[in-house]
Amino acid sequence: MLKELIFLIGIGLITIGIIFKIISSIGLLRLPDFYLRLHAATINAVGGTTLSIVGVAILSLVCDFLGDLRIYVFGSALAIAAIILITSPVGSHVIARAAYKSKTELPKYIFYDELRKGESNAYK
Amino acid sequence: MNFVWIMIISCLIITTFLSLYGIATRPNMIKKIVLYSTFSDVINVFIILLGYRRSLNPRVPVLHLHPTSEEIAVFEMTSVDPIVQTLVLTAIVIGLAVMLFLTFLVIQVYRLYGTIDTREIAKKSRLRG
Amino acid sequence: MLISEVLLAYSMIVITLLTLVIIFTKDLVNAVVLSAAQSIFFVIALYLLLAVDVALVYLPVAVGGYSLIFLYAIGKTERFEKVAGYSRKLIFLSVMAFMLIAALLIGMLAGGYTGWIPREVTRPLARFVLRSTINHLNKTFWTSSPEAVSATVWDYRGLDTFFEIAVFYGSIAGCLALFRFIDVVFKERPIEKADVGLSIVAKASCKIIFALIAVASASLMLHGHLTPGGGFQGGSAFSIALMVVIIPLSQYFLRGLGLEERRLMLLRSIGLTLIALLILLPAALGGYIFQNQAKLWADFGYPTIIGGFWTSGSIFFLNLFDGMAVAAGFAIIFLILSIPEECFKRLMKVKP
Repeated sequence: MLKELIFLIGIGLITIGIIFKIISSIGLLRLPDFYLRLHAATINAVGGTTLSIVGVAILSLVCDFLGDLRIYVFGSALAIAAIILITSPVGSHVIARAAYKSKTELPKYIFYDELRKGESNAYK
Repeated sequence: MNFVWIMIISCLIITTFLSLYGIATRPNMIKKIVLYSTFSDVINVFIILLGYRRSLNPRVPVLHLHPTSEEIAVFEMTSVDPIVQTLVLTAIVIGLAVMLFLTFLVIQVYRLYGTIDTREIAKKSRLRG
Repeated sequence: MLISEVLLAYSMIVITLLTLVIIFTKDLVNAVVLSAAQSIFFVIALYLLLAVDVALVYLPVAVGGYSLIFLYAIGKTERFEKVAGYSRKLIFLSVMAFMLIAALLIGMLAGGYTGWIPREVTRPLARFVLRSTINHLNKTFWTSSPEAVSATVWDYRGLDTFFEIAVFYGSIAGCLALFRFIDVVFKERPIEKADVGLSIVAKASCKIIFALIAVASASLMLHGHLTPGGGFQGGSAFSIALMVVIIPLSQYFLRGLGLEERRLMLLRSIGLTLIALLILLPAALGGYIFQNQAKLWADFGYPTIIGGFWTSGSIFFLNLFDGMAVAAGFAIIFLILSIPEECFKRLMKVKP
């Protein structure tokens, strides 16, 4: 009973991750602006990849054919999920900031521009 | 099984020829170096393929610290070739050293000639005599 | 048909297509990023071919190191390739046709008609290495390392590895010779510490990632004689960790810590000197050069266990010093690449 529940939770997390990935790839194709597309790409990493890998970690706990290795798979999958959760938002933050500061891509849809207002001292 | 191996080897050979074609015809030096890295990688994978053991469950050449003689016999008959892997390890390190020096030479060429296009460098060096 | 073979064929097809795209793209940044993606597929292929050591050395070198160095080179030179005046469709088509026929022929010949390319039985030399590397019962040729690749690198083929280290050392010396105005640059422009680097978010998270990669590379370096890994793998992974620090915190952070080119070169030379001492010590004490364990005709052997930790004779120390030397060498390369190009142009009196 418990095993089947864990199995279902793992499968469900992987499915939610795949749905996130589909949504983000539609957004990458359809969104009009560079920054909005970057947002869609980050949804892929944070929602899609992290949730899928956590699902794999939970699923590996009930995979009997892995034997004792399933603890290693669980731990390493959780570590990978944590690293992706740290790195990918920071990566898109740096990309967006670089695109804004080098003026290669200017935002089209913007209501309040904090970076331009405090250009002299706010962001170093 | 047969078809898959034919496909793998054909793809390796096609990539070898393609990267050589790119090195020969592209004028930009950095493009040449990038394609040269691809070329050396394909050759390395091919060498690794020579040492692979085509069986149902080959294993990595790593054992534990206190094996019995039966375990050593099984290890000898199922593991892949370690010598080929060390050769490729050496080849990767030497390739890295060569690639570093080539990249720095390209930067130096840009400082001296103002371009890294081989055609323009040929023109400029002819003007200089 | 095994799943690993199907995955191998898939990654090979992706590698071929990516090579085509790399040849015909005009943006060099595109080419470098696609080359890094191709390297990831090479790593997958190497892992599926059970060459875990090679995959571990390939991951930091090709995915991290090459792409960073090429991007720096593009930043210092030009970004776009001028291909006007090149219409050689006929040559390309003939090359493609020749290539397809040759590839299919060789593939079919190798894939079963004249004997298989991946054979079912390995060579006698490989079987000798696998048989004798950790054989407690017959210690005539043993190396006391359960990892056959590390044993071959540092024991059976030690002199080749020393030659490889020498080539890497020489290449770094050549790179430093091409950038020989570093001292003048920093004499003219003193180091200012404030107002450098990316935003505070990037700085904080890069410190966390630096700790993670440093721990992983230390485990690769210190366990290289027991599990897949080794000196070069650990050292190059640690150099990628240094790169993660250099980009957000700027090179002035490392220079402020005292890690300048001369000190890193000193660190590298210390590592190489210790390696040389370790391999010359047996020759002085009645053995031969690069001896690890006692043989019948040369009665000198390093201890296999020191303080309860299995060191595999000298292999543990050789891995440690090699990793130190490699990390220092990579750090030199990244530091001199991150100096702005205008300083050198002004010093070399290049016409603008």
